[in-house]
Amino acid sequence: MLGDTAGWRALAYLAAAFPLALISAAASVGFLASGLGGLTHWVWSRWLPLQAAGDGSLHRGLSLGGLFFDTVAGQLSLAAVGVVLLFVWPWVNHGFADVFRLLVGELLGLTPGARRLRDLEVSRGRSVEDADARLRRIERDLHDGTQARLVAVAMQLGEARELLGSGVAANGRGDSSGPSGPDGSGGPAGLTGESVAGGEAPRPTAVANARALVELAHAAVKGTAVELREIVRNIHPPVLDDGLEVALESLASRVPLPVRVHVELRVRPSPAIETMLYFCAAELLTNVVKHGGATHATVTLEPHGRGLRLRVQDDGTGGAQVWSPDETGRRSGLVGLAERVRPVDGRLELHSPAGGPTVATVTLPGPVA
Amino acid sequence: MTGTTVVVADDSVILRDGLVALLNRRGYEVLAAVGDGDSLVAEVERLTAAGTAPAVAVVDIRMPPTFTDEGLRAARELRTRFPGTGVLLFSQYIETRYATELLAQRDGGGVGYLLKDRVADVSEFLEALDRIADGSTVLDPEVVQQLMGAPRAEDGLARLTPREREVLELMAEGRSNGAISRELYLSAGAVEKNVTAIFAKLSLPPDAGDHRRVLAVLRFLRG
Repeated sequence: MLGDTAGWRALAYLAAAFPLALISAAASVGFLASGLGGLTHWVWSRWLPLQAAGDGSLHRGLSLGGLFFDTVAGQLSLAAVGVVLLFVWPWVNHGFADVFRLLVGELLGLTPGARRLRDLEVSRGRSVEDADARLRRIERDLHDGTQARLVAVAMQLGEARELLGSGVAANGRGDSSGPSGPDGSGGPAGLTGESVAGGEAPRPTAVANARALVELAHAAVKGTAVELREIVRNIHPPVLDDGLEVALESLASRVPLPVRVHVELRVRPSPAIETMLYFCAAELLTNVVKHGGATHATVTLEPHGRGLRLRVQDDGTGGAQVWSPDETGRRSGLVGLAERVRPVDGRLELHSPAGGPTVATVTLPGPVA
Repeated sequence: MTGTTVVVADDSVILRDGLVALLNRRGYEVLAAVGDGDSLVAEVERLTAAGTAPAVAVVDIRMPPTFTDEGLRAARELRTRFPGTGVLLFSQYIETRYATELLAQRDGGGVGYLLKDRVADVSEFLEALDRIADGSTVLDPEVVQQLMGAPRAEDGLARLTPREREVLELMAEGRSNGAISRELYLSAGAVEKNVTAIFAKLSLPPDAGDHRRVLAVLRFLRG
């Protein structure tokens, strides 16, 4: 109890505030009363009893060291003093208020350490949001630029490939309704020195080689497009723009076991929190599929205090661990998950007794909006 | 050459121009090419009023102004207001939810959902476009794969044999029985037998054949 800094500071505040309150009240009332009194002295002094001055003359009203103010000049000067006092009165009040503010700020407000902590929290939250916004921008740029160009190139190569005559048969599916090329042969791609078509084309070898090259380029571009799409999905899944519920449902539909999704949100979380929760759910579901031996899983997202709680539950065999480095010594995905939520003070709890079921809970204390 | 009429909506100029050029070279008639959902609906409205309703609209999902599901919303509006025009949703990414949403309001017209990459296999892509123009359903193999990979707790579907699932998967891609028999190297009779078995296991009433086909695919997609 003696170490209770806040308590001692509050006590010091009380000790200082009480006398200060008395003094400020007296001063404020004093200034107001004297100001009004001085200003109106010429009116009310006439009803005061007569007093004798040192020289025997009789006067009414205020006297200061034997000097009376019942002359015209005297009354005017008293009124002037009254005006000055009334003018100064608000400043007196402001002055005392400032002293009080200082007292409250120093003794009841945040200590420098606490203030620094609050600033750090604010700037940390801002950098989490900034990072998320930057990733979204990258995703948008890739989508509008690189991916679109890649598809356009793939389309041109695809057309070139068909014009050169390999048709779609080489692709192994669909019926060939495309135009047959100069020679119509659908042989496997490969750089050969042999003649492919009948002697009409001037340089059949060159055509065959060109076709093989186009074939390779076409396959490479298609592969690249698939890779790029996966990369983009890992940067920022576009479906998140439609809200967390849609995104989680879409996520659940890619998991090779039945997943029930239940989402209850009072307010839409900030984009960064949405991204964070999405990737947490993705990681936890991956884990369910990888280790759990589960046949069903449930994803629940609901309010928890000022924050949110994400829970992924499965009916697998249990025994999951947060810290389980694989044979290459790399950290497990769950460690990464715990790190992912740390910038917002999130916590991962894993309850996975041998024999199951496994319940993984991610709690974000909030606020999350 | 088919002469099928097409409208294209994509905000990426490179892709839109490339697609229009490709379609023109392949004998399609591109009636309009626009860059957002509202213009698409307006163009189809104008063309339909002029008596030249396009056979199919190729619609990018993510377009201005929201860059989220603009295209999907435009597609839904087209399906409701202009059932004569088939819709091919065309996207850089596949979200099964979009597919089920589009199919949920299926009303006999053609719909499709393909990854943009599919245009790389030109003839296959054009074939899909033709099937949609003819009123069929075309789904990207990846959509089908995702839905197949996530078996729902649905008795009928669970009782399908692997071969029947294969057949249903191809039905979901909008293939005819003939195309399925070629794809799976089955006789026409064997495909027919599988299809009948699928209908029976999904307890679909034996009325109009095509209607049952759609119902089977829908059941399958919704899980």
